[in-house]
Order: sequence, then C-alpha cells, then structure tokens
Amino acid sequence: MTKKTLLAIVLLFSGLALATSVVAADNLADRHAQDGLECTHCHVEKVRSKAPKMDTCLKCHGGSYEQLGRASAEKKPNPHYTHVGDKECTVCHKGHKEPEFFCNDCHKFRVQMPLAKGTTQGGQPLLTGANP
Amino acid sequence: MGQQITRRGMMKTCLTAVAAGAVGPVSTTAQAAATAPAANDYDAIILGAGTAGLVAAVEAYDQGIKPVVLEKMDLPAGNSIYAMGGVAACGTRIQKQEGVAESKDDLFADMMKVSTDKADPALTRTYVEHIGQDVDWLQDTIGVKFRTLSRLPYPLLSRLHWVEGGSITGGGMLIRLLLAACKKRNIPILYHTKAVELITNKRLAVTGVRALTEDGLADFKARGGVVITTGGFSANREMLCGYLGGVMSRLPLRGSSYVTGENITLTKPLFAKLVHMDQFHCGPIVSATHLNPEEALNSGYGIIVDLRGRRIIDEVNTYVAKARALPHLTPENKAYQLVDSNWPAVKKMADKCTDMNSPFFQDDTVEGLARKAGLPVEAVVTTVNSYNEALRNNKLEDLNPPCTFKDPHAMDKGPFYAFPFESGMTATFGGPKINIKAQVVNLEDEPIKGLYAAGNAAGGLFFGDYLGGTQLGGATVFGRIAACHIAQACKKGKKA
Ligand SMILES: Cc1cc2nc3c(=O)[nH]c(=O)nc-3n(C[C@H](O)[C@H](O)[C@H](O)COP(=O)(O)OP(=O)(O)OC[C@H]3O[C@@H](n4cnc5c(N)ncnc54)[C@H](O)[C@@H]3O)c2cc1C
Repeated sequence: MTKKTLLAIVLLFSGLALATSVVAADNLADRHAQDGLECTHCHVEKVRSKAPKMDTCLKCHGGSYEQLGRASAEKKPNPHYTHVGDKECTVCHKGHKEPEFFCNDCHKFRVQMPLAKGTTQGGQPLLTGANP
Repeated sequence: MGQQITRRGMMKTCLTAVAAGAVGPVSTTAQAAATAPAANDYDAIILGAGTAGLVAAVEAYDQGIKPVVLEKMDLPAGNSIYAMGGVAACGTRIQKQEGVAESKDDLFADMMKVSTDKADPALTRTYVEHIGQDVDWLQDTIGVKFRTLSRLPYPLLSRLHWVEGGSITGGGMLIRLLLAACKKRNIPILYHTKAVELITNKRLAVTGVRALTEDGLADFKARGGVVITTGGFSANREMLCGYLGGVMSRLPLRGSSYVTGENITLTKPLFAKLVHMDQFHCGPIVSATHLNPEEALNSGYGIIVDLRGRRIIDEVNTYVAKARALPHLTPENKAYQLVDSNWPAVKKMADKCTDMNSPFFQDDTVEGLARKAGLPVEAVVTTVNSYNEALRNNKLEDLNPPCTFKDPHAMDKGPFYAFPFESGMTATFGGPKINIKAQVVNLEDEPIKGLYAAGNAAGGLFFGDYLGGTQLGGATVFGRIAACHIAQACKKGKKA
C-alpha cells in the first residue's frame, strides 16, 4: 500500500469519525472533533496513521510529563508518575477506541479514565476487600 | 500491553524471515546484514537499559569514552523498575555518618553463607570491596537519595540502603535518576532496538552487535567492548522449563515480562561458560493484582493454610522460604495467611489490599472467615483450634508441621483476616560467568575478548538465595567495573 493510499484511508475513516461524532463523544477523536479540531491537529506523524507521539499531546495537555504528573498527583496511583516510567500517552488514551489503563495489565486498580464507559479494571472483576 | 505485543510480534516475523533466508550456520542474520545500514561506531555498546546498563553507560561516559545503550523496549522494562530499592553495602558515607560499622569481611562471610558457599568468592570479594564507594557514587553522581538506615534482622543488619522512591518503587526511582544522568550527558539510548547477535572477528573476539531496529537490522561497531545487561531469563518459559524444570518453572512473575534470556542466546554461540543456571529467587505475590503480601507473611502472627484448610509450613520461616516451599507443598501454588487482630499492623495490611483492589477476607469469627474465603469451614476451624490449644499447652513444636515461633501469639482476637498469596518468580541467577573485571569467560575460563556482562545477565555472584539488596548492588558494582575496563582498553587502543 502506498503512503498516499494509506493517508487517504486514514483521512476517510477520520472523516467518518468526524461525521458521527456529532452524535456522541465516544472516544478521544470524537471529543477532539467536537471541540473543532481537525484530524491533522493530532495526526502529525510522517505516517499519518501512526498514533500521535507524546510531544503532540503535551502541546495541549500539561505542557510536560512532569507537569501532568503534578496535576494528577492526588490520584492513587498517580497515572502520570509511575514505576514503569513515562509511557506514550496513546498507550492508555486511545484515539479511536475506548481508553485502556496500562497499569491494569498487571494490577487491578479502580480507576475512572476519561471517556471510559465503566470503571476500567482490566480482566475479571475481583472479589475484593469490599466484602467484609 | 497491546502495542508492545504487536511490536514483538512484528520483530518475531522479521527475524523468522531473516533466518529463513540466511546462508550458512554461523549467522542467522548474515544475509540481511549485508544490506543493513552502515555500522554505527561506539566505544562501548551496552545492551539493556536496566540498572547495570545505565550505570555502565554513565561510568563509560565519565571515563571519557563514547557509549550507546540499545534497549529493546520503549522504556527501561526490566526487573529494575519493580525492585523495592534496597542496596546492601558496607563502608558507605551514610554508614559512617550514622555511626554504623559494617565490615567488608562480615558482608563477604554473610553473602557466602546465604549462597551456601557456592557463590563465586572472587566476585563476592569484588562486591564488598566496591559497594561502599558505589553507594556513595549513586548519591553523588546519580543523585540518589537514600532513607535513614535502620537496624534490620540478620543478614540485612545495618547494610540495607533504601533508595527513596516517594510514591513509586525505589527501583523505579533509581532508573528515573539514571536516565536523567544519561540525558545530562547526551548518552544515546536507542529504544526499540533489540540485540539479536554478537558480531565477532575471526578470533571470536566481540567487535560489535547486530540489532533489530524499527527500520530493520543494523550493525553497531564496538571499539572497546560490548556489555550484556539484558537481565536474566525469568520471563522465558522455555528456558525456565529447560534449566529449572518442574513446578518452579511455572510461577507467576513478580517482575518484568521482558527479561527473556538474551544473556544466554547471545553468548552461548561464543562458548560462554554458563553457570548457576538452575538458580533463582522467588517471593510471595498475588498474581491477579501484583500485590506483595510480604508484611503479612513476615508478621510473626497467625498461621498459613492451604486450600484444604491445613497448615503446611512452619510459620517461623522467612517470606522467601515460604514462597520457595509453596509450589512443592500445594498443587495449586496457593495458600492463605490467616491472622487475627492481635497483629497490630493487620488494619494497615487490609488497607494496602483495599488500595490495590487486591482480594482479602475479613470476619468476626473463624467460621465466617473460612466461608467467605471459600475454604473448608470445618478444617479451618479445627486447624485454628489445634494451633491455639498447642500454644496453651506449650506444644507448638509437636504440631505437624511444627511451629517454632519464639514468641507465638494466640489466634483469638477478631476480626480475623485471610490474605491469599502465591509463590512468584523474582529473578534468575544463571548466566555467562564473569570474572572480577566483568569479562565473560569461556568454558576454558578465559575471557572472551570484548565481551562483558553485569546485573542479572551475569552468572557467578548468586546461588541459592541472595542477601537482600545485593542484586541492585551487584548490577551497580559490575556495571561500573565493565565500563572502566572498556575505557582502559580503549585508551590502550586495543580490545581487552
Ligand atoms: C519485585 C522485585 C523486587 C526486587 N527488589 C530488590 C531490592 O530491593 N534490592 C535488590 O538488590 N534487588 C531487588 N530485585 C532484583 C533486581 O530488581 C534486579 O536484580 C535488578 O533490577 C537487575 O537489573 P539489571 O540491570 O540486571 O536488569 P533489568 O533491570 O532486568 O534490565 C534489563 C533490560 O534489558 C532489556 N533487554 C533485554 N533483552 C534485550 C535485548 N536483546 N536487546 C536490548 N535490550 C534488551 C530489557 O528490556 C530491560 O530493560 C527485585 C526484583 C523484583 C522482581
């Protein structure tokens, strides 16, 4: 597939997303579109279909990873300051689908991510300390 | 994580394709290498951005040579980021400031003792000679903040220097600081770059590394040497089955999923001497949530029962010994630490579980507790009653298994708690044997020229158990030694 075709496909799909987004912000791309952002606002990579890199996100969100970490410092765990280091934003914040909480690949934290349908626990819900 | 799996899958596909087209038995990647981009020249090529690798990179730079770190993942992803962050040392500035005397000879003796005298004495001696100044170096050069020392049970004593991690693991903080030190020095760390083969000359001296990058295979040339700091093989199931075998090869992981035995695959073709291959460390874990229930197991309170509600081990054992025994004692590799409210820290433990959304059970009665935990009620009640009765009659040692707590506590104060746990794999100790210069040796005990290893990738320093804090310590000591030796070789203008 040539880069041009790929770009065309990406733009077509993003266009569809844009068209449907008027109904409800189901994901990040919809939300961005509702806020009046063009696809190319985030899709600045050479290969347009690639997920945007952290620097692109930080331009509008937080300014720097450290800043983000400070902003979410009261959360437990702080999703932007963890022992695994500064992950790319799109690892958790997916553009065109539901967010995924990376930490819950191993853990089962109860967190509410923006645009998540429910509490993202990852895997099966657990019988927990809530049972005493 | 989805992205990484895709990437790994992609790498595998690439490799298979390359291997299929390869010519001759020597190099699986020979054909692709012919078309690989021009070699990248460095003095030291360091494989893996864990503690050992990043320490080696900083030291190499500070010695005036040009290092590069190749890291296969998107960030440092080895065991270091999971480590609690204890570093065992003697003769540090902190110890002097706090008026604590820990001697080199005592630390040497205790490290040998926990290895049942099977650790390499020369490597152990090198450790105790270097670790004091290396902890000072972590403070001064890397900016590590250590907590105030506290006196711990033998063999930790006043040796353990805890990296202050704040809200993250001490190991995670150590890696953050090491990365910052590399950034300050402009040391290149090439992510998504996986070493797949060592390049040698006709004398089998290591001259470089072939790596899979996002743009395909690329060759890196090492003027002074290559340091293998890729960690052990705790996440390589095939190797675990081959070298450990049995139930211990199927434990859930307490650390990284990406330490997959490249210390073996890269060095074996060069006839490296692989030692201590069946040796490893394990500890307790709740695999579903990665909670470490260590405090409950080390509390000195309560009893441990299996899924049939029977006691299975002398509770006096350390949490490591308990974890090591569990897979042999229960087919499920699962047990419950039952404690009552006599344990002053029980609420704190319960809060930790709640915070991590990790399962535990609580009830005012033993019956109720067993029911909630899904354990056979009658068996659990009988076990607890027998324990309490034996305690009253001073007969705990007659139980089967005996309980030899010096200061045992009755289990009679509700609410009662059940904390589940499993045994989990921490790290493997086996790898290519290094000498005191961190050079990898061959089967004839001669150094393989240009090849070094440090951290969990290197074999020889650990056997059986390890004295807490000596793994991060060993990664630091031998990471620095490897870098210094390569720098010397570069300055002499020859490969060591
Ligand atoms: C839960 C837990 C707690 C621990 N607590 C302590 C403690 O308190 N004190 C202590 O001393 N020890 C502790 N340890 C052990 C300690 O974490 C390890 O011994 C240490 O981190 C090993 O560091 P390393 O540099 O050898 O390797 P690692 O940190 O494992 O790093 C290896 C790196 O190499 C990369 N890599 C692998 N293959 C390749 C390749 N082919 N090409 C490029 N890169 C590659 C990996 O992605 C990884 O980033 C603990 C371990 C665990 C799991």
